[in-house]
Amino acid sequence: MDRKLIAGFIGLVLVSMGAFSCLLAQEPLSKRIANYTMDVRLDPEKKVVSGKEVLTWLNDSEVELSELYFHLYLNAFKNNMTTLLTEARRVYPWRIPQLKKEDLGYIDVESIMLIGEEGVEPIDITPTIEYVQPDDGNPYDQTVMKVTLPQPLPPQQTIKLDISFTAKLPLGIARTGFRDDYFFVAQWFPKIGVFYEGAWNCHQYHVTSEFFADYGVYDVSLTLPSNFIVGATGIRLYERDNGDGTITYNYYQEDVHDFVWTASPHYLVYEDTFTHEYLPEVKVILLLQPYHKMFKDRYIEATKHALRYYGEWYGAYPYPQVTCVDPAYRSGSGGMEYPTLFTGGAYWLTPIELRSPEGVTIHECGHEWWYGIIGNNEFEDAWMDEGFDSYSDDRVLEKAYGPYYFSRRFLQIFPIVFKRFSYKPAWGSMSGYRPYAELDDMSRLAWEFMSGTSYGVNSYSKGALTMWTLENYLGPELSAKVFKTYFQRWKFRHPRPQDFIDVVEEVTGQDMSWFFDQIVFGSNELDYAIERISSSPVTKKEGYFDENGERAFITGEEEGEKEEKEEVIYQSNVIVRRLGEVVFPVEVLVTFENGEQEKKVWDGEYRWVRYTFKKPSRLQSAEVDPDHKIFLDVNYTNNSKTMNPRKLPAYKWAFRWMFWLQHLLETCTFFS
Amino acid sequence: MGIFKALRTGIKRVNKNKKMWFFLLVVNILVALVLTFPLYSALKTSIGDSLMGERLTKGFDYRWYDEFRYKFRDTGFITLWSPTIVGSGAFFSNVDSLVTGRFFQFSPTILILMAVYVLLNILFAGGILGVFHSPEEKFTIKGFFSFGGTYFNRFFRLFILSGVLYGVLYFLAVPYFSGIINRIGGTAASERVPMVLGIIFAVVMFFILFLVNMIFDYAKIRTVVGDGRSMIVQTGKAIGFVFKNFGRTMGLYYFIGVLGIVFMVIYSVVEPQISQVTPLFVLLAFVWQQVYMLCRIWVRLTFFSSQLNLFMGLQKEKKVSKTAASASPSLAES
Ligand SMILES: [Zn+2]
Repeated sequence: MDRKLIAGFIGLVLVSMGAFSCLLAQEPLSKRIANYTMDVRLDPEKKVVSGKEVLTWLNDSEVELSELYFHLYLNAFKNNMTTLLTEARRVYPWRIPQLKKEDLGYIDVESIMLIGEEGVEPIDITPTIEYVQPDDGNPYDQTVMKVTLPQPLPPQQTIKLDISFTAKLPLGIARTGFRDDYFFVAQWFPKIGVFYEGAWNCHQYHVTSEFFADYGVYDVSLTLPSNFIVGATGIRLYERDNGDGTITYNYYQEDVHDFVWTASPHYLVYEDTFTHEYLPEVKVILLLQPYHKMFKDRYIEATKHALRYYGEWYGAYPYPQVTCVDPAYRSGSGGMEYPTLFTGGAYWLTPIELRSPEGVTIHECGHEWWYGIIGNNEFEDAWMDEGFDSYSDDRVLEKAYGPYYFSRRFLQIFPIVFKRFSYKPAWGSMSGYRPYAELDDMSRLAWEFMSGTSYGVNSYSKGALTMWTLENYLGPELSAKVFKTYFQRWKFRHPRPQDFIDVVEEVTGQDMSWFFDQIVFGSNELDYAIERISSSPVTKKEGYFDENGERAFITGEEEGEKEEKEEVIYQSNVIVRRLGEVVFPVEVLVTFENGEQEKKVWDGEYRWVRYTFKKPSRLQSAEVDPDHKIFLDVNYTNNSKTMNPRKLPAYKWAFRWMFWLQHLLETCTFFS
Repeated sequence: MGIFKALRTGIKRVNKNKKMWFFLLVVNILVALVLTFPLYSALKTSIGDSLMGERLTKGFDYRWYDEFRYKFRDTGFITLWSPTIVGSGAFFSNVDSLVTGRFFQFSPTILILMAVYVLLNILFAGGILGVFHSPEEKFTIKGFFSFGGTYFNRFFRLFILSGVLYGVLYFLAVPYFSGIINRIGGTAASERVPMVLGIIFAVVMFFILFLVNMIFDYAKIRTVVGDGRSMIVQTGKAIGFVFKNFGRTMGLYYFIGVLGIVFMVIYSVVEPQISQVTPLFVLLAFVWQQVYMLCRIWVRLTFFSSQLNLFMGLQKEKKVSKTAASASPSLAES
C-alpha cells in the first residue's frame, strides 16, 4: 500500500470518527428501541445479499416478553401463494407478472444467537423459529417469524441477538429487488416488530400496506463490487477498498426506523445543499439514471421545495442528508419513501407543466415527515401518513409551481399542455374519491379495504380532502398550529388517530369528535345543496283583521310596512338541504340584487333549513359554502342557485364539443 | 403534368364550386348536431341555475368538469368530452385515433354516427368526382346526387376492399407491433426505447395509411374517368399508377396534406384569442370554427380535384407518348 493511500485512509478514519462522535454527542431524538449493526455482502450475479446483523433491542413495555416477532418481508416473493402475491392477483392483477424461478425472492435466517454478558457463551435460539400468520392464517406466508427466548426478557431490559441471514432479492415488481444490474434493496433484513399497546404488532406483508417499526440506530457495512455506485439511508462514514475488486461502504444513521440501500454501476451522482434562513442545512444527494440527465435540476429543486415548506410548516428536517433516487426503468421501485432516502420517477419528454418528477419527488420527500419522523402505523392507519402527505404535497406544489394543467400525450408520446385549463392540485383528489366515497371507512386496516382502489382513495385522496377540510374549518392560523403541534409532540414516536384528534382538540379548545367520527371512522358522503330559491313582492294583507279591538276589512296593505308604501318589499326564500349523511356546519351566503349580502351559519343537523328575508330588493343568488372550504363536498355544482342563470357556458362548451365532433367526422372521410 | 399544375387547376376547379363546400359543411354540421344536442342538454342540466354558469362564463372550473363527467359517466360519449379536445386538441385527439385505431373503443353512439357519415361520404365521393369530371364542372344538387348514385355501388365495393386493408392494419398490425414494443420495452434499459419505437411505428403507420388512402383515391378517380366496373381491377391499376408515378403522386398528396396542417395551425393560434365571455364572442368562435371546417372540406375537395388532374394529365402524356412511339418506333426504342 503506498504512503499517500495510507495517509488518505487515516485521514478518512479520523474524519469519520469525528462525524461519528459528533453524531453520538447529540441528545437522542428518539427512544432507540431497535438498533442494528449489519455487515452484508451483495452478490450481483446471484442477486443475493448475505451477512449478519446484531440487533440490540429494548423491551420498552411493562411486561416480561418471552417471544420476539420479526418481519421477513422478502418471503412475500417466495412463491405465488404468499399473502402479498395472492392479494396482488386480486387487487392489481395487471401489475404482477408471472415470476420465473430466478425472479423469486426470499430470506433465510440461518442462525439466531442470543448474546449474553461478556464471557458467557451465546445461546442458539435458531430451533425456536416459527413462522406465524397473525393476519390471515395463510400457511404459505412466511413473512412473520417468531422466536422464543430461553428466559423472559424483563421490562426496560435490552437483548442482543446475532442473526445470520441470506436474502435472495426478487425481480423488482413491488418496491424491492433487482432489474439487471440495478438493485433497490428494501425490506431486506430480519426486522423486529413493534411491541406496543400491550401486544406484538407485526403484520404480514400485504400488497396494500406499508410498514411499521421502532426507531433506533443503524450502522450498516455493505460490501459489493467496486464498480457499483451506492446510496443508502444515513451518511457514509467510510469506504474501504478490499483489494479483491470489492469495496465496503459504511452507513450510519440514528433515530430512523428502517434502512434501505441501492446500487447500480450506472448512477450519475449529484450533490447540492439546501440552505434556509433558519432551517438547518441539508446535503441533497441525487442518484440519477444517465438517460434522465435533463431532470437533474428539477429533481433537486423539488427536493429543496419539500425541505423548505415542510420544514417551515411542521418542523426542521432533522438529519444532515437526504438522498433522492431516480429509479431504473421498470424496476418497480419508484415513488417510495424510506428514512433519509426516497425514490422519485421520471419519464422522457415531460415538461415541467406535467409536474413530473416534481409531484412524486415532493410527495416522497414529504414522507420524511409523515412516516419518517412521525412514525405512525402504516399497516393500520395508512391515512395518517398518506393523507397528511398528500395534503402537504398539494400545498407545496401549489406554492412552488402554481396550478396543474390539463394535458395529454399525443400518440402516447408527445406531451401537449392545455394551459387555458388549470386547476388546483388539491382538486384532483375528489375525482378519485367520489366514485368510492361510501365503500369503506378511512380508518380500516390497510389490507382490509374492499379493493386496491378503495385503499388508495381512502388513504390518499380522502385523507388529503379531510385535511384540507379541517384546515379550512379551523382557519389558516389555527390549522398551522395544529399541524405543527402534532408534529412536534409526536415526532419520533408512533401516534394513533386519537393522538392527532387530541392535539386538534387541545389546540382549538373544541370538541372535534363529531368531525373525526363521521369522516375518519365513517364512510358517509358530505353533500350540501341549495334546493330552491324564490323572491317575490310580499303578500299584501287582505280580509278582516282585528285592530284596536275592532274588526276592520283591510286590502292591499303590506305587513309592517304601512309608511313606506311606495317601496316594493320582496320576500325571498332560500331552502338549503343536506343531501349526504355527514352533518357539517355550513355557511350560506345570500346575495340580493342591490348588492346586499347576508351570511347565515347553519349547523346542518336537520335535513334542510329555510331562510326567509324581507328586503327592498329581489334575491339574486344563494350559495352554501361560498368560500369552498369543504373539500369533502362531493357535489359542488349543486351548492348554489341564482335567479339569473347563464346559458352561455352550455353553448360555449357544446360548440367546442361540436367542433371536435365535426373534426372527427371529417377525419372519418379518410375511409370513404 | 407536374404536381403544381395539377394543384393549380385543381384548386381553380374547387373554387368554382363553392356551393359544394357549403353543402358538405351543412351535412357535416347536421350530423355533428345529432350528438351535440344531447351534450348541450347534459351541460344545461348540469349547470342549471347554479352560479357555476357565472364561473364557466368567465373561465373554467375543474370541480364542475369533474362532477359533470361523473354524473354522465354512463352515457359513454360524454366522457370523451374534455378540455383536451378544445382547439388544436381536436386535431391531436383525432389524428391520434386515426393512427392507433383508438376510435374503435368509442361508445357505440359515436361509432354509429361515424359509420353513417362514412356511408354518406361514399355517396358524396361519387358526386364530387362526377361533378369535377363532368364537362361543366358545376355543382348542382341534382347532378351531385345523380353522380353519387351512379358510383355508390362501385365506391362501396372500394370501401369494403380498403376496409380489409385498414382492418389488417388496425386489428393485426397495431396489436402485433404494440406487443413487440411492449416486449422490447419490458427488457429495455429506459422508457426511451419503447417511446422511440412508438414514434417509428407511428411514422410507418402514417405512411401506410396515407398510401392506402391515396391508392383508393386513384381507384375512385380511375373508376370515374374510365367508367371502370371491376373494383379489384381498378385498385390494381391504381396501385400500378401510384408506384409508376411515385414521386408525383406522393408529392401532390403530401403537399395538400401540409396545406391542411397550415390551416390547422392558423385555426389553433387564433382560437384561444377569442375569449368566449360574451355571446358575441362565443358566436365569433363558432364562426371561426366553421371557417376552419370549410377549409378542411376545401382540402378534401382539393385532394380529389388535383389528383384527378394529375391522373388525367399523366394519362394524356402516356397516350401522346404512345402515339409518338407508334409514329416513330426508332425514337421509342432509343
Ligand atoms: Zn405516499
